[in-house]
Formats: sequence, structure tokens, C-alpha cells
Amino acid sequence: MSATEIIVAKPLALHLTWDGDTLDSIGLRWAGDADVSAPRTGLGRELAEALTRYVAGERVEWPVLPVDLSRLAPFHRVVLKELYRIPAGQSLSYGQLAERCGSPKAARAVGQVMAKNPWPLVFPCHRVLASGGGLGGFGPGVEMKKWLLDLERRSCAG
Amino acid sequence: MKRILSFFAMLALLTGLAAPAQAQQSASAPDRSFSLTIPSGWVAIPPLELYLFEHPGRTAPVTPEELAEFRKTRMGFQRPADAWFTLPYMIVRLETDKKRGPQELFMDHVLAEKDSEAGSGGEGYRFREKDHLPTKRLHYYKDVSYSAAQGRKVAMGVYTYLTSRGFLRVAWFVGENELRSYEPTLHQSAMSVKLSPELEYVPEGKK
Repeated sequence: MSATEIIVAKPLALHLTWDGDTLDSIGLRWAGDADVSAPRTGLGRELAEALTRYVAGERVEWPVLPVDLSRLAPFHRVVLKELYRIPAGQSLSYGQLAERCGSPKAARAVGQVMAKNPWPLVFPCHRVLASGGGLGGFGPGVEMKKWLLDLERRSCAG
Repeated sequence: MKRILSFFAMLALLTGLAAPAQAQQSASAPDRSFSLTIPSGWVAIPPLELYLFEHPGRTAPVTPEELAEFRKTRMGFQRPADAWFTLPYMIVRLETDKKRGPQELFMDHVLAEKDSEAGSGGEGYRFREKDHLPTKRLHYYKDVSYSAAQGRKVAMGVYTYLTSRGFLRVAWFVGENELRSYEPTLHQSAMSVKLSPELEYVPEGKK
């Protein structure tokens, strides 16, 4: 049984999709003018509070997401675990993340995991960049990736 | 007669309620970064034995520096016996170079069964119990599987604490035939870990 809720802290909006008690995915996008925050669950309320602080430039610890990694392939799980450890204000290249996962030649596979990341922002795929220093891809758009990295850089500097 | 019986019933109940939990003794990390209680009468496994247990292929002598570094993050205890690592025993291991968070603790909890079954090779594997206690920043997991080293089925409990340096894991091992008599004490020990303020996990943004 799936259910959804929307969390808004402008300029960002998170669209949560639940599968029972498990958080199936987070959709990250720019908030529209008509978007209004409507958390329905405890986690939704916690996320809303954290997101408000995040966009205000504070360093936040995201609430624990009830995600089920067991449905993912083993390599996918390893990549997400290592991805989660990249702190705000820092970034890695796809190759560096592959190295941390113990598969230095798997930069392309890491890129695919990033592209399919079901929980962006909390699992910070925006902190993974192209090897030449370019931004690389990002599902919600490269502009947002740049905005998130700038925001985090400022919050860590302050 | 009925009054006497009920008196004894009440006395038995009160005695039971007042009985102390299985006696325990305290043990601390060399740098006092954490402490826990261990079953009374148990002895510490020497660091060199722990080192060789963890590095079974090691043939070169272990230098004092290596051992000094190793003992900062490892502790082991067992019931007195003729040989080290005679069941039952406990091992404590502290990570030092991992920045981890509550989400990882949760994921570790979710995947504990899968990881443990894969690690045991699946032979004689039986899941027993697991729990995640987010307010204590702890999760634990228990199973039974066949141990080739012990030549029999061994029950295991692994308790993972989130600390500022990574995970602190307390693991106990006991022969399946002795599980019933040892489990309450071992569980009590593994749940008794106290972290120093420096080792206590501090959420992001509250440092």
C-alpha cells in the first residue's frame, strides 16, 4: 500500500512515497509557488523541520529514514553506505567513491547508483562530482546540484 | 494453613524480586573511553591472544607498538578455562576512523540478518532476535550457526553502539547447548556499555 506526502521549505520540495512503514523514495525538486508543506507522518514532520533549517544554511542531521536496503543489490548497498558518509561541505568524484567502496574501477557503476538513488539529499548524491572537477549529472537538475553544494559550503564555512 | 502458605508465597515472590541480577564486575577500556560490566569471575583475554585470533595468518612477531595500538580498541573476556577462546567468551571492538551516523546504525540493523548469514556461510544458520533502540543509539542481533572452528553450533549476539569514532561492537559467543543458562548474563553485559563524554555520539549541528 503506497502513500505520499509533500514537504516544502522553499526553494526545495520533497515528495515522500511510502510503502507501508518503509520509505520507498524521496522525490527532490524545486518548490512551485502553489506547493504547501503537508507532512502527515512523524518522519515527515521531522524532515520538514530539518529541511527548514537546512535551507536556512544550518548544518543538520537528517532524521533516520526507514529504508529497506535489503531489496538492493550488494554493490548498490555498499555504495549507498559510503555515500552516506560524505559530510556536508565535502565532495568526492565517482572514481573516489568507487575506491572507497573497494572497487576502484567501478566509477561508471557508481554513477549508475547515483542516478538511481531513491533518497537524494539524505543520501547525498549531490556531493559526488565528475572526475575533472565538473558537476556531473543530477536527477533534479545540475542547477540544483550547484545550489546545494554552495549552500553546504557556506554552512560549513560559517 | 492457608495463611502460612500465602505468607511463603509472598516471601518467595519478594525474595525473587529482591534477588540481585547475576553478579557482574566492571571493565574499562585502557583509555577509559568506555566501560561495561562482565560476568563475575570472568577473566580478560590477553591482547596478544586477541591480536592473533583476529590475524590468524600472522607469522611475524607482533611489535609492542602494534600491540599497544591494538589494545586501545579491543577487549576480550571469557570464563576461566585451559585455553583462550573457549566458549563462552566476549569480544569488544571499537572503530576509530569512521564517521558514522544514526542512519547507518539503522541500515546496519536492517541488514544484520543478511550480513550475518552471508558471513556464516549459511550452514546451520538460524536467526533468533534483533532490535533497534534509536534513543540509546544501539542495535543488537542474535543468531545461531555452525562453527567449523568449534565443531558445533554456536550462538552469537552482536550489540552495536554508535559513537563519535564509529561503531562500538560487543559480541558474545556461547555453545548452543549452554545458551539458556548464559544468555541473560551476556545480554546484560552487552547492554551495559557506558561511553565517556568524548566517545558519546554528538548529532551534526550540535557540536
